[in-house]
Amino acid sequence: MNKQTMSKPIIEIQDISKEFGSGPNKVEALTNVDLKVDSGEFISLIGPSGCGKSTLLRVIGDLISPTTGSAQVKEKSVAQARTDRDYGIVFQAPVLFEWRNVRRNIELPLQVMGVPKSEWTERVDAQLELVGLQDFDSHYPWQLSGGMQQRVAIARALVFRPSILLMDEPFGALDEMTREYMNLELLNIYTRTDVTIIFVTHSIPEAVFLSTRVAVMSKRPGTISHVVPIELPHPRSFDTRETSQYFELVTEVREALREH
Amino acid sequence: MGNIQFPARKQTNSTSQLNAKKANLASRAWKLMRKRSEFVLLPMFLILVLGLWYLIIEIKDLPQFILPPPESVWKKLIQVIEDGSLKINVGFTMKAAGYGFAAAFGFAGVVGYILGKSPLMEKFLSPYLVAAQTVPLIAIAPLLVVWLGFGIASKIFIAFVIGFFPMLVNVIVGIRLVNEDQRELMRSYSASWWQLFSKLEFPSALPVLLGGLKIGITMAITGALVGEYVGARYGLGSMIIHAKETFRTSEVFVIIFTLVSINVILYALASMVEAILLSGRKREESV
Repeated sequence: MNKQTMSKPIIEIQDISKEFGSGPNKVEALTNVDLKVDSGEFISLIGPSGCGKSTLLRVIGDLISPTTGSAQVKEKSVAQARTDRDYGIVFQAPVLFEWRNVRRNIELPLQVMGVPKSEWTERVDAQLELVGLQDFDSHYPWQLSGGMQQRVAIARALVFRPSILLMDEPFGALDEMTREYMNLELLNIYTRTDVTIIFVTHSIPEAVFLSTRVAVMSKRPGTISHVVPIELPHPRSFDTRETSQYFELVTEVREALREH
Repeated sequence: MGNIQFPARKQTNSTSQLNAKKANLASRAWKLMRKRSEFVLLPMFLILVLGLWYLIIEIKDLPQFILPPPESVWKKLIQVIEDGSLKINVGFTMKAAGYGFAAAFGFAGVVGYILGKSPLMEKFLSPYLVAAQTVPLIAIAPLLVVWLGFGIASKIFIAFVIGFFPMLVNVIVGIRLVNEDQRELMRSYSASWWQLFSKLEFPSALPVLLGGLKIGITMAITGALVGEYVGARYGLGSMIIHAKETFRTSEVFVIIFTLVSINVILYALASMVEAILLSGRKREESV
């Protein structure tokens, strides 16, 4: 399945740089970053620790502003896109509100964004079904496993139908088995919606398995050094991870990372 | 021989049954004790205290005005309930403490929120707040009574000041402890100030806030008492002073027990409110 369209890119990053601090403590987190993302793509940002991949994600989500350069989403500023609620965000930690049960956690963005209350139940039910947590809507976060909590976080990020899903190492804290299962779940969600995903990860196999393109970043100052297109056919499954094409792509990304 | 043995064996059988029954009863009592220890330990403690009380009077042969026997304290309690003096004075103290507590709660909430949100403001104001806290309130209480009068105003003020600081600290801590990722999430939703406060900051700080509330209530009552000690016509504090000066020691005991009861009841109420407001959260969270 190919969701890419030939229209204008949904995300356009031009010559972004970001510095933290000043004087002797100045840290150059990003420099000369260019990135175009088409609607419906799944882009992974991969690179060594401290290469600025989370910073780039936060620039796109307008959670921090770049020092120089321009970032546009749907041909408007990222600030405008945030105000228009174009982003769903999933962090490494689930960041659930521990005083709300699963249903009320997923309702949170609807509540904040003023979606009519009559739509909540239906929308939340649809998300619960999408992430497979129908039977857990009245559970509290502390009653769920880490993987389930992260699925609630994904449901919460998608419930207001954002056009872009920003994910910052969402499965980094999960064990390998759960992680592979969650990868499959995420792909399933991705194919069932028309959301564009920007996905920060440390894991080469994860990036290759999930993405339509992998953007490899180099360390200090962080920039995108290679972009590897992943032309693995959809739908992908556990078997995909055993094909020679998959191994070749993993090798290609690994070599791109090693060049720095 | 056989005839003698038979009833003897029967008897041992029934004693062992009795023993088993006893053991069963003991294990049930032990279970109850572990599950609801307060039901067992509290009466035992009270009996112990009463016993000691009588014992001291017996051994030292103390006069009534130093240590009255429990029954004269009981008689006094009935008397002050019947003549209405206890009710009036409890009412006065509770009113002063209540207003003082409400003011402290509101003021600490607003100031604590601002200081919690703005480290700059806290840096600017905290020296003054710390300095204000080091002023011994008991030392300036007479001055406050001179300024604010013999009436309830001075008591409310002292209750307010004494309850303010512990609550302020809790509000600041509560606001500071709000998870940074949760804030970022709300920011990504373009949440308004009010939404940030009502959906995240307030519920997140609630356990710490309720902890401060529990301390604040008791502190406010202490504050009202301090004001009444210094000079007042009504209130449990002035009642204690009068009783002491006229050697009505049993009345002093009545007031002390009344104050302990009030504090225990208020604390229990606050804990109940806490349990209701924090239902669903993980237990360890409540302070």
